[in-house]
Amino acid sequence: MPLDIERRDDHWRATFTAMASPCEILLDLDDPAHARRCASGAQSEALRVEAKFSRYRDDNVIHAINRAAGRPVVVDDETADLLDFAARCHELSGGRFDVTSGALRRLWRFDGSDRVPSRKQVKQLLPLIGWTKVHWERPVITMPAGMEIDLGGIAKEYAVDRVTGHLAGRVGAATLVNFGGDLRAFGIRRGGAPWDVGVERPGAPDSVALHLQLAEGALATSGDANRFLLRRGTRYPHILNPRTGWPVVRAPRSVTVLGDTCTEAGLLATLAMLYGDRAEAFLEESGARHWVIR
Amino acid sequence: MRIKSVLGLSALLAIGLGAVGGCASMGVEPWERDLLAEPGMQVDPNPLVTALDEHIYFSKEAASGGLAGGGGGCGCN
Amino acid sequence: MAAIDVRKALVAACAVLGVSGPTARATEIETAVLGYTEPSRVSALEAVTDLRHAFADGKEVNFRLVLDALTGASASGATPSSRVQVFTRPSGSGSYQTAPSETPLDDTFRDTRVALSGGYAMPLGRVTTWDAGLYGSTEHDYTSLGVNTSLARDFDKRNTSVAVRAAYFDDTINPEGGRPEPFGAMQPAGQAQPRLTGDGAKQTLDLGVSLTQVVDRKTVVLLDYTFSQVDGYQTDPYKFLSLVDPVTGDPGEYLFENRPDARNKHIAYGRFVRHLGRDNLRLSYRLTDDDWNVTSHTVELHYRWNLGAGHYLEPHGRYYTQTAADFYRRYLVTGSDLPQHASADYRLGDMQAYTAGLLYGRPVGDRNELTVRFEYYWQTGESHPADAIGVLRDYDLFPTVDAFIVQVGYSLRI
Repeated sequence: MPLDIERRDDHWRATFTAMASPCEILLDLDDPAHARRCASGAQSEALRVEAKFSRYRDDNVIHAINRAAGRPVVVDDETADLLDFAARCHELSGGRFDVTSGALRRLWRFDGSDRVPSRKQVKQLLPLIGWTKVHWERPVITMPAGMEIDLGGIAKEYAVDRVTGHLAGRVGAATLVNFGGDLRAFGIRRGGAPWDVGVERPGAPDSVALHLQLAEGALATSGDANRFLLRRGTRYPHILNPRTGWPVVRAPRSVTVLGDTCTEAGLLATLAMLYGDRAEAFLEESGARHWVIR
Repeated sequence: MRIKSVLGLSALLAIGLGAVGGCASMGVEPWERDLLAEPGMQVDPNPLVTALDEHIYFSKEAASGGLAGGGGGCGCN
Repeated sequence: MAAIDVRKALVAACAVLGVSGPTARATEIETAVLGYTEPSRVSALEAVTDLRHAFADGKEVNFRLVLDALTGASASGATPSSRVQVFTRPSGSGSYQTAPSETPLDDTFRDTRVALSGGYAMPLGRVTTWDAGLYGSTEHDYTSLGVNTSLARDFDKRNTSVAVRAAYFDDTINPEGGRPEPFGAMQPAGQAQPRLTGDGAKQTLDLGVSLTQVVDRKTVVLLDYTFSQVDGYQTDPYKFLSLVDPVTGDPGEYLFENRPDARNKHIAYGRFVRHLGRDNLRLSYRLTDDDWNVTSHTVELHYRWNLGAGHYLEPHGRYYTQTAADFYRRYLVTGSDLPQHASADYRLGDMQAYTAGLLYGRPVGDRNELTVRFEYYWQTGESHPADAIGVLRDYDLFPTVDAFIVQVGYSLRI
């Protein structure tokens, strides 16, 4: 897999692609060999997480669970930790966050068109959705045939945190990990200055909506980008409510949250989107620093 | 001297309590910690130097303690 | 469920997931070697190594090893005299002489100390940290064992941090030749000296509370208070007082000192840290007061001049002043009543001390740091008290003590 590394002012910038996102690692150090070693390790860890939890592959644990057709599947510790986490998020969000909602994407293709599915189609699909129908008793998961789990809503942020954990013990210098706008920084830069971070304007990948400075911590953004349907003046964003099978109306265009870990920040941003017009109220009450674009 | 020093101590504590009471208007947001994160902005950036100095002062002066605790553990005083 | 609880639960769930907050795994080793010399008096060489390891889950272990070798002479407490003075060595078996008008120095001062301490810190939830530690040190005449613990909690987006701590030390003193009897008269070498039986024991309890407050983007303030209670043998077994003639001021006898066996200390400490341009200023003030009536004020200033690329130069100044302990006597007078307690240890007298120093720090590679520093320290006191008797009026009763300190330190992160 290609890994590009270039010098920028006082740091090294390594770039690669993983999880369908541009990934970048900024390393505040001088030794090019050390920078390459660190970036290469980061890339390997990102690709490992992607390979293990992608729902587009047929050789991983997600595939095994989704194709088990009602048979129990025993999963490894890391997968079990993520399923525990998903279960907890489902509980905390009152069912709004649901890793089994991926099946809805068979109906909802957010391609900017006006192809909104019929109420009947959605209703027919709902029996295949709902974490409560999954029998999860660590380390065994049993899921009815036809249901699918998709950890895509967690995996990228989780990968950022995993890569951070991998680098923290090895780099010995300030580092920024940025996977498609979900990012985390640790260490103090030699100049003392924080990293400059730009959050993209939803729907305009090259324009920056928000300039932030991040010294330490994580930022995650949830947004609908160009993914929506438009029919008779109603905009249907790609955020789906698993309880109804319909998009969340009046969801913000994008939500950015600051947290200690990327997973925490990402989940708060996702939950805020799921709260629709109450997103700001939810974030305000959570106490987390946030930026909402409508 | 005794009265004066006790007054001084109370004054220092009063400043401390004032700081606690007034902290609602103090402080920064998490993203404003750029300068505070610098090594030179730590309360004790070189604890080893502090410990060595405290040990020297402990063995040369009648008072001890403060940043590195009350002192003790040495027969040098 | 309230959003704030959702966030807390998410943080907890993230910790379970193995993706922890800002703390990163790291090991840091820091070593320093310090040379200390008082011309014609004490010289010391001290080596310290710190080892710290932070685990990914926020727990931390740390160890410190200190080796200390000390040699030379220190003031015994006796006054200068117009005659040659003969003193018995602490062992009781030999003697040494001090020339007329010279300050008597006990030149048998020689010791090595090994101290080892270890600590363990763990987060209790998101904003609370608990730590505990053990301490042990040994010298040929002194052993100290200690335990300590502290609990710290952050408030208001970590802008306010409050910590409470406690430490307890149990020390044993077994001086060369045994502990002198309080006010016992020094006997000529070879004869039986007035001695107490058994070792001396001392217990110290420290209780402290501290508050760290971020004031604004450029200012941090620390306030700290410690109460320290010391019980047991606090007399310096190697120090004595001259019992001088009320007219001539020349000594007749030397009496071993005697200090109270209880001391309660109050220590208030404040530090102000400020960002100035690209530099940093640390200004500290300490006030101590105790029931020996020693009151002290200390003002200390560090200015960190950041030169860029991690290099810095840090000038340091310190001023210290203390009042004498109420039982401090430069000497005792024949024919007067003995006080309940007395010591001529200059460290318990009225005194001012000054420090001027400079530290230079620079990064080495991406992970390591080298520091070098020089310090000059000097102490002055009442050299010519107005009420000095006879010949003592002609002598410097509190000679200035000068000390030079050189230190090289290296820290590496793995």
